[in-house]
Amino acid sequence: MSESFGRISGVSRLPDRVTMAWLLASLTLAIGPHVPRLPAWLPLLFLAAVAERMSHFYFKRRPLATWLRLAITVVCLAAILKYYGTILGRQAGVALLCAMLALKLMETFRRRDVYLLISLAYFVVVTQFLFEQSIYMVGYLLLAVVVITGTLIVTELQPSRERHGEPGVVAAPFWGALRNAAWMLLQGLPLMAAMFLLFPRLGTPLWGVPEDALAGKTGISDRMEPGKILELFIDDSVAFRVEFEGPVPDPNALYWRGPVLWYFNGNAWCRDNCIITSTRPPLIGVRSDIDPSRIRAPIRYQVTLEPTDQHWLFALDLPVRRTLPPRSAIEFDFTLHRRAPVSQLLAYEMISDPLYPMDGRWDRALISRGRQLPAGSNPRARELASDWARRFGANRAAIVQRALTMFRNEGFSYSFQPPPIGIHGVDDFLFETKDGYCEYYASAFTFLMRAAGVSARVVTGYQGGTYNANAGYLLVRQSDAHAWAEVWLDDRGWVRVDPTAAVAPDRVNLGALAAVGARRGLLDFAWLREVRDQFDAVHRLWSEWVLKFDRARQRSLFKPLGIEELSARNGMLLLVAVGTLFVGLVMYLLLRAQWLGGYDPVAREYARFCRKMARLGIQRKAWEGPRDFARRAAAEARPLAPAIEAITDLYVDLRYASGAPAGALEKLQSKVRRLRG
Amino acid sequence: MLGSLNSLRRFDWLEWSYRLLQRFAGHRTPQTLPLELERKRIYIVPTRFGLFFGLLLFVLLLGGLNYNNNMALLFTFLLSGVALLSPLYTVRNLAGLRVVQVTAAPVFAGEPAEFVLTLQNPSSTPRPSIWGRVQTEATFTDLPGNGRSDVAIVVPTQRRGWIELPRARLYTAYPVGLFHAWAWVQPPARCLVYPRPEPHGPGLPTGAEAGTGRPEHHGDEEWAGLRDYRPGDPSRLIAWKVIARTDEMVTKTFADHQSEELRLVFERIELADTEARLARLARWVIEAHARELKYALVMPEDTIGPATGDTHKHRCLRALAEFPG
Repeated sequence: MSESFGRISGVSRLPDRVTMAWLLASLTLAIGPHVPRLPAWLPLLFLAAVAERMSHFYFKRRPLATWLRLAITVVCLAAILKYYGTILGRQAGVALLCAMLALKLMETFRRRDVYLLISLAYFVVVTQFLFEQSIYMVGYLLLAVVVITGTLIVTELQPSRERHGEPGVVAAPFWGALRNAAWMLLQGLPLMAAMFLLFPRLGTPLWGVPEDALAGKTGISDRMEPGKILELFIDDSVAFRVEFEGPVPDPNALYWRGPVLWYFNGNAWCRDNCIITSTRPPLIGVRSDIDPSRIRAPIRYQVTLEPTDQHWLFALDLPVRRTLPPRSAIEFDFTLHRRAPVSQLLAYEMISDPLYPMDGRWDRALISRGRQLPAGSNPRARELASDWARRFGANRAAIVQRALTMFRNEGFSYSFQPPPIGIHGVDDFLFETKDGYCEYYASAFTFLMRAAGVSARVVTGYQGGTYNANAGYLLVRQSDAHAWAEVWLDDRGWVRVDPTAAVAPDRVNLGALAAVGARRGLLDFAWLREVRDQFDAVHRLWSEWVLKFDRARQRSLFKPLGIEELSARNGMLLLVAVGTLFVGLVMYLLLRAQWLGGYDPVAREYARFCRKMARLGIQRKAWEGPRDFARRAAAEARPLAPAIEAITDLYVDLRYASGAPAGALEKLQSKVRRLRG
Repeated sequence: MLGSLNSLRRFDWLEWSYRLLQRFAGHRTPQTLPLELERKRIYIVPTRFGLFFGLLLFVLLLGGLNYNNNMALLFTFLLSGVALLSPLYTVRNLAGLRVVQVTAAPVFAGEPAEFVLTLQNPSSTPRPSIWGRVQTEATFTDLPGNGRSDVAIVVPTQRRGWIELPRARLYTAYPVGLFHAWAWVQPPARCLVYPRPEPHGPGLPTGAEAGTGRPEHHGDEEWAGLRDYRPGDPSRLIAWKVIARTDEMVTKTFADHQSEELRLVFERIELADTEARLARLARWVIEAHARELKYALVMPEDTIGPATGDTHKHRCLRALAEFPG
């Protein structure tokens, strides 16, 4: 038999197998969800590091030489720099962190290294939330906290494991640590909720959002190039949700206006010109001439826009509300522009009037802009258009009708897999392929109009949406993205024309999918989509109550209780109070044995009995033995005499007699409990 | 991140906290056994990793607030909640623990003295990873629910004599290593430190020199009968045949011959330094014991023995350890 205690000299500083297994689980959990976002070699590097680590245990291999590790580090840094062009920014930063994890894993020799890796793992877990904040991530969050915290516990118990040999005697290595971690997490949840609600939030950020914060998000942008953003139409993610105050308008009236595109460079339509790639496009002019007296059919609603990292807000044709979300404006062409990109969930109230005329001062000043065309592009389309111009002259409405008739009757079709088009894209589409989706039609139609001398512009946005009757909101997905045109008619101002509707009326009435009659994937069935739409209601609750929580909501947290505004200071004070109370409660639960007469259950019961008697006014004196006390107490509280005697007998038996009968303690407990006091 | 951790390493944060808190701890009333680690006497500070973790949480909090990223904030706050509750668990691991017994086997000077503290866990919750230490060397143990276990306080020794158990720390960082809780314990206990035996020197004194001859147990020795076995009797003196017959442990005895007795005399050692004399005597005692000789230790004021066995050896060594001067 060895010594009854363990010595530090007998404990290795190298993490043992159990620690390592937990650590690897933590790291995998941290890196796992990032894998699709990382360059392929990075997960492989991580796997290599894991294999390298394992070989220490199973083949007793020596660790890699320092120079080799250094060389790998340099190569990794260079590779990340090459891949992303930077080591700053969100994507590159995450890649860098993951590489650091893998490299550090290769040199985990001491407990300190384990702690560093655990800290890194926590950090990497948080970076997931820069990319994804859906309700599913809550499960991930809880799992990550339990496993990584479990790793801490397992690390702490390593000396004990080594002394007793695996598995440890005191704490089972796996379930014990997991249970402890889960229990601590459970107790941490109320604190988390209190801090979440009360910790003062920032009204304005201290520093900017990384440039690439939402890179790779699909969505409507201020550039449209037919054939380039097909993925939008198969992207099921949510664009925004709308709650109407009144009834929901007809599906064919649901045109969600986004950026209006004025400039055509031969391939792409852009808002101003196609050269500027800055994330902050120039503001040409702000519309301030909305005349309330001309509003005829106002529709009131609230939009909750998912983050896009773009500057555009969406509103039903035509937005006429004069008070807008902060730092936003209705521009000269009824484009809703926001100066800061939408980097997080944004909710705004809006009023639209589908009948409001676009024929004001601004619009008249811009008619000539709507005739811009690049020189020399699409000669056949130009020829056709000038032919129409000759035939119909100044009757612009007739030219519009001619174009729509052409789309309707001359063999055009609507599909998501159009044949490729060349440099003269409009020509190819109009005369060769005759197959495409909304962007093709909007682009070709606007080109034809301009070539025929009619001012026209492309409008991008969304069309339609799915109404969730149970939850009472309209859900607009990225796949509802749409593009249409507006033409200037002298007597009516700018008028919406949707050439796609001429080809595929279903696109407008039933949605893009129904229009092509296609499924987007193997699992794309109507009923499944139905289920998903219903489940979206849960997502909405999540974003409504958690993701949207900000300083404004925090301030009005206690409005229902009559407190108009919760200041940061009062919030902090309340948090400290609530936190102290809760920590005190847990402290009481954990350490109460210390207060309540020690760990001896018999003594504890007797102490409880004495407290009950004291409440009746019968205080046990310090010198009084149990028997003396019982005699006095029985005399003072006659009706309780039998109970007092029974309790005292049991206590004395348990305390002083050898071999008290089985069940005596339980009897004592029940008697004390039943004693009224 | 690596750099900051390294610079933290150079500064021993825990040692600094001990010193700081020791100042506030003040003078305690003498502790007696059994000793309970009262909650009020338990100190707690974050570990180095705990401090680093706090920094991490702060960075996460700042990032989450800046981007109003509510998931990141939820995560940060959950971790903060766990971190805030973990010291309670750490304190619970120590609070109420009882030191019921302290033993310390004598050691030779230069060897570390080990005060073995028997700990008793009065609660049904197991208490893993309880550590004890004074200076550099720490030992640890795990206490099962309502069970007992030992932890040793290792104290380096230099000089012979009695040493008291210095103020020691019982500590733990269980469960997550973010906080370090400790209690100072100093139950009354002392450990005897024998003089360090000289590494080499003259062999055991011969008869001529020390007034004794080597006791030889030949056939001419005078048979003196049997007596009850006493622990430490040399095995060749045990009357195995008698034991086999009667099941009683008995030892053969022979008549003592004064002239044949080994006498280790303090004053006859020709060394000026008392400590050097004691060191030599210590070596002789050990050697004589190892050779199962019968020997007597003659000190200026006291003579021990002659006798044989462990008890005798320890009596002799103790006399050497306690020798004044």
